[in-house]
Amino acid sequence: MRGVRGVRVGALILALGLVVAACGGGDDEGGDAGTGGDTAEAKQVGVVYDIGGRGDQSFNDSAGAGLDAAKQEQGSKVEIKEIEPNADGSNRKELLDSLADEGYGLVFGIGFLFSEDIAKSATESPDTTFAVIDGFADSCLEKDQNLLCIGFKEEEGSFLVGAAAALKTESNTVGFVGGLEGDLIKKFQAGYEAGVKYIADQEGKQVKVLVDYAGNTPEAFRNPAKGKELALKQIGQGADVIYHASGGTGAGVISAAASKQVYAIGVDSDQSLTASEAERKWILTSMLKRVDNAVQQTIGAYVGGTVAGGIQTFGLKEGGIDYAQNEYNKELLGDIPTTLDELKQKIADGEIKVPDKPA
Amino acid sequence: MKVEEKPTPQPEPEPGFEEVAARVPWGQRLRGWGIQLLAPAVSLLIAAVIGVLVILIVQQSWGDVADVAGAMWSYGLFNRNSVAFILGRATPLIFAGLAVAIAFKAGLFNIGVEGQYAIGALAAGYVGYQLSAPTALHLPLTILAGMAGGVLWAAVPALLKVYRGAHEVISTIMMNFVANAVLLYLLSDLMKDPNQQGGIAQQQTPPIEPTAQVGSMVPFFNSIGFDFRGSAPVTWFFVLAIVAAILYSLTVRRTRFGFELRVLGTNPRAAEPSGIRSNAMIMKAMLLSGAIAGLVALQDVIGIDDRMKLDYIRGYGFTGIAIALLGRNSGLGIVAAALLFSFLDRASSGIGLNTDVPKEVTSIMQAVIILTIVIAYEVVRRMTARRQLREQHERA
Repeated sequence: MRGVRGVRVGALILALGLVVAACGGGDDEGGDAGTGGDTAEAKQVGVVYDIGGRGDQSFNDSAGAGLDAAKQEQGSKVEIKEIEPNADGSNRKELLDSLADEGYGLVFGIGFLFSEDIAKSATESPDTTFAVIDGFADSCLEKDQNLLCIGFKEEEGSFLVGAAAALKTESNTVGFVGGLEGDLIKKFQAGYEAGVKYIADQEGKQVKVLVDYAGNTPEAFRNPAKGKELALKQIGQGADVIYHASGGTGAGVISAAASKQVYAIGVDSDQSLTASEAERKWILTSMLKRVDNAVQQTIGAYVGGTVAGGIQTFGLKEGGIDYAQNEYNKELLGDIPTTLDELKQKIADGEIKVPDKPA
Repeated sequence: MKVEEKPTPQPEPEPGFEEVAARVPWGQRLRGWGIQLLAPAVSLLIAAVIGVLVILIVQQSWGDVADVAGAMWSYGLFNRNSVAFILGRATPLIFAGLAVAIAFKAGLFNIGVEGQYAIGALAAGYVGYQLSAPTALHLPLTILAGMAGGVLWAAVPALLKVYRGAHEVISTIMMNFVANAVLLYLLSDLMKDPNQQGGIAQQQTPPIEPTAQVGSMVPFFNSIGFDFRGSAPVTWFFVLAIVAAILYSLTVRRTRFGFELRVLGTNPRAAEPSGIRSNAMIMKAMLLSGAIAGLVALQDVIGIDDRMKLDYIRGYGFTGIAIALLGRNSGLGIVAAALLFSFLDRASSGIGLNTDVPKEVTSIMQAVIILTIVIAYEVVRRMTARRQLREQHERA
């Protein structure tokens, strides 16, 4: 019996070996096919997503949409390569470097986690322009260098959703749940409060803004339980619209709002699209960072030969900020968009100045 | 895995093997090595076949299989930085594998390497930025602090096991959670770098003094003909990892301590009657494991970067279990397994850069290797046992 099994194992190994050998035979002919894509004259754009890549319904997807739009717009003038890092993100820099080595003239890093790596890559590959979305490095402040820090005027978008909240509230109390307490999220708070106040003044009413932060560690961006707790507290104090700027913590805010049948406002990307059927009904709108527009415009500038290092902040004027309108919140918003679109125009024209620090 | 280590009626092949090998002629010895190499080879083959099947199912074309193989080969091995990346990434994996393996040898399953190196890295980071001393003093102290952190974290489960009989699997897992919480707290509060500007403040310590940093190996490699980027992630820690692997092999095979360790691991009940104080051995094995674990993240903290960041807790401890298993708890095997995993990781970047195939193919291959290696070793173990039995019959 044992002998028979030994033969069987041997045969299996042999068979596997043959299969692999057969596969291996193809390597030499096909090995170069994947790399030989240098079409003449096309400008090469490389994009390194953050962990997860396309399909995150957030920044990566938005950047992806921008790439698709750029492909449409530029046609054969650009050649775009998209790639995502490994699961622990340890090869972000390797990917940036490899794209630069292969002659890509513009390389994006999607998300602030790239900041440090991309700054180093930019120094090492001076012939490539690097762009980091929502990130910051000191070298962006210097002149004549090849790193572009792309930011967004979050306060402007927060102003819009603040106005929406003030228009929607019946209890004249609205809430704000921030993630990590710090200058970044304070920008959201400042814009939101200003938006609420603008509408309240216009309509001659008093609207109270309740403000809470989930904590002072990055954990504050990943703590839905805390988000739920804070939202329930604010609802108990009378809030009937709550805006969150707290990343993953916001899932708890949205779920609390839906369970108590009050409205929630999402952040960064259109959260109506990712929410469950039951929660969707209670998402009034979302503050959008239009990563897609920023990416598309930067690629446009690169093709046009005008891309350069430095800091670029996309606001309403540049189409970098918006609020979400979709098939789910159409009825919820009613005629609010008319007012919001007027405000958009006023902010873009500079008629309304949105503060970036809370009053 | 635990089951495999338990006493069986047949002689355990691994420890007995060397003693037999010392007496057997070269021909048989080579055959023995061949059998030992068979298991990893078989699981690699199975992983390759399953990888090919996955590509065929997802992409439905043999051309893509060729593309992937080409990308793995050309980018994985021959890209400008590939060798540096593979050696650099293998470094923490070697330490992690050795840490798991030395506990394995004593029959202990240390799942707490993850937490141990987190605390070790934290301790090293602290000594690195807090102390100022000449390199000759500061660097060794920093590395020792890393090891001490690991030892401290391993001591708790070790003491619990020896004095209270708490199973180390449970307590080491629990210690991982505690380590995480400690890390989060310290890095976002007491040890957080106060001088950060722009963007979201990261959870990281202040920069470490240059006197506590380990140099890059890039200048060395470039002087012998390579052309790595200046920032390529390979440091002298790689050499330290190789030294550690050699020391590990010598200790386990050639010293009294190593022998006692193996006896305890193979047959705990026989250990005490043979004059081995098993509790003391459990303590020693666990603390040694923690000390090696403390070195895991040091390359990131005082080699490639110059500070401890939350980001550097990357699951090396769990990969280390796979590495130890794949490397058959031998020093050489662990180095080879770490290099293999590191290569697969590098190759996955190549797949992402040069093909349209999802790069997760390599993750699937890693998983399949881990799964099949267990089976393959069991098959080989039975083959070896049968061979030994036959030899005994022949001698009798």
